[in-house]
Amino acid sequence: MNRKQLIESQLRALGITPEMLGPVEHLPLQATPDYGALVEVQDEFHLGATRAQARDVPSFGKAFRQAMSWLKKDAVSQDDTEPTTMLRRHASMAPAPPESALLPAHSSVMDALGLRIEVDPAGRDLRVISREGGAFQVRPDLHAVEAQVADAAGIARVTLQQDGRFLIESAAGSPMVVGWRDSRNLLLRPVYPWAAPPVEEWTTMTTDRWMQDRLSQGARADAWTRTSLAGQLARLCEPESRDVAALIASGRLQDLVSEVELAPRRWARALPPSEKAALEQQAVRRAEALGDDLTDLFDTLSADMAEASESWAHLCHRRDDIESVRLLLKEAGTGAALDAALEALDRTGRAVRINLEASLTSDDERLRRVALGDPSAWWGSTDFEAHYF
Amino acid sequence: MAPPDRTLSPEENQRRERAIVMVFAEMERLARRTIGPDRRDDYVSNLLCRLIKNRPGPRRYTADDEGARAYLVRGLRNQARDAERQKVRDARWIATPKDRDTGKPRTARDEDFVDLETPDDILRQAEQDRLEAEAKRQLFDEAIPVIAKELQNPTGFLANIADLRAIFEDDLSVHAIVMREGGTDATYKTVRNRVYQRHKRTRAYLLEVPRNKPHDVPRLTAWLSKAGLAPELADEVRRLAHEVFAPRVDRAATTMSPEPVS
Repeated sequence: MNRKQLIESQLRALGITPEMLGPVEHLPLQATPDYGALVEVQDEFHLGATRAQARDVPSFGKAFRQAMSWLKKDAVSQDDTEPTTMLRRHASMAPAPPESALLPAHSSVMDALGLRIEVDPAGRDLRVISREGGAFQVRPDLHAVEAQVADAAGIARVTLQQDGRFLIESAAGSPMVVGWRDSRNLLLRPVYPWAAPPVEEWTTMTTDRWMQDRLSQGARADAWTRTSLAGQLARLCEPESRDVAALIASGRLQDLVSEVELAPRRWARALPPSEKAALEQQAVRRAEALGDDLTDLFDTLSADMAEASESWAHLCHRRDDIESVRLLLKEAGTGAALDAALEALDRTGRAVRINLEASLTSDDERLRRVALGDPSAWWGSTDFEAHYF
Repeated sequence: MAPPDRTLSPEENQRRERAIVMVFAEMERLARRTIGPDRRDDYVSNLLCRLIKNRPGPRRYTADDEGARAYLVRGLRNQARDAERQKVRDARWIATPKDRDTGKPRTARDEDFVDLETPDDILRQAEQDRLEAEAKRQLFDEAIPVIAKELQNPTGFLANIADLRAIFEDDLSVHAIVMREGGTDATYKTVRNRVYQRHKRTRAYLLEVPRNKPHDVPRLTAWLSKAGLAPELADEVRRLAHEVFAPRVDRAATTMSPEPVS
């Protein structure tokens, strides 16, 4: 049995099948002089610092992201004026880190869940950190040993075994990320422990061209993206021309919404309870991560709107992904934990939106449909009025 | 509100259908008050179908009937706005009409002088003007002084409100405030940002859910709930506050001169 087969069989024993796994993300591990500067950055913006402390440091997020992206060799710019290259030059002069130092590794898989990861250069020790101290746990191998629960500060420290295999789970035990080590990399794969919806089947059933285009993007997407697309199909199709008064008068209310728009709701209602729970836990983690990013944006908003111009549409799309999943969970008779997580997030989102000038999201068709379908959605197009007071 | 579906239980379907019928009736009533007759039915139908599909979550600012009505009014206005925008987009595809005598494209100057106002239009406009004037009085003379009293030192808050109102009424610009506060070429961006942060705090105090009371509602919403204004007037106060306190940013300006366009 080769290593891949071994990991797959161990994952199967934990109830994780290959279809549940997202694409592999590679984080280079090899020790280089560059690590010196990473440690400096790590020290300056100490990862155990509270969010309030981090916010006191100007451009914390940017410097941190620069340091992170620089760990990935392919992210280093060829242009000497680029900050990443300047950081690398600076790094080459820095002293080597102590053997025990843990280095931050940039991971979009972890970012989406509001988690950060640090590893030692040899890939022996691992530290997983939740930005807001959110609850999660880490299994230091793929056997059913006791999981390492994150402490009150949202940090789990584990010593890796079994070629560095580990599994990050929600506090309730739903798997979120599986990781392992090879000779040069730490590898991460997101886990989506629910059956993805059949969006391809639905693509041909809708007459909304924009929606067809969106759904076709989901053909090779991960289960989270496909589930969000299913929710978008249920929510965001343009209404067909209907005499609503006549339909109501004749009692034909079931004709108000087409069969294809009902299909994702039926799919959600048919999910087994364990899969509904896993989907909700994934959505809650993503909501918490988005809430953190919105708080960062609110705190750094300035008169020239530079921060918001760069990131607003993307944040709105992330919120809408979660809203699409929320709708499916509601139809499936669950979603209370997600509603609770969204309450704080939406309060911050509204606060940002109130302070944005119009036109930041014009020409975004998805956000136009959001605004028209829910006037209280702060993430809808700024071309329309939002109802928030 | 959520779509009925034959695969659901009869009880659940009845519950959903009852909600739709109730909201539809209320939307028709609100549309008669807030939307012109031309495409009123289309807007009501569109909004109803979109709301059914979106199933908006329970949110504090639609928790009472007054908030729910304001929410629906906003939704209807957005449908009308979307239709207007669609009309503008469509017009771009229509060739500019040409003048019969010269053969050149007609401009605004070539338009005939036709008075389109009917007595009904004049009456409607007078009523709208009266409503706006009363909403302005309610917002600035009633609501804001009461809300300001909750602050230990309301002077700064009231000064910022006065600035935001003056900016809205074109009596002041952010640029002029920066000059008033001693901004120079070297400090322009810093001072402008200081002003922005002050206005941000003012908006937050008035329009956002208080951070120390996360289960509360925005202070202006709370005032409106207590004030017991007629629904049309409460809507107009909301609309006015939305316009007056919208951020207006001189994004291009980074120095003291020339005066940027707001």
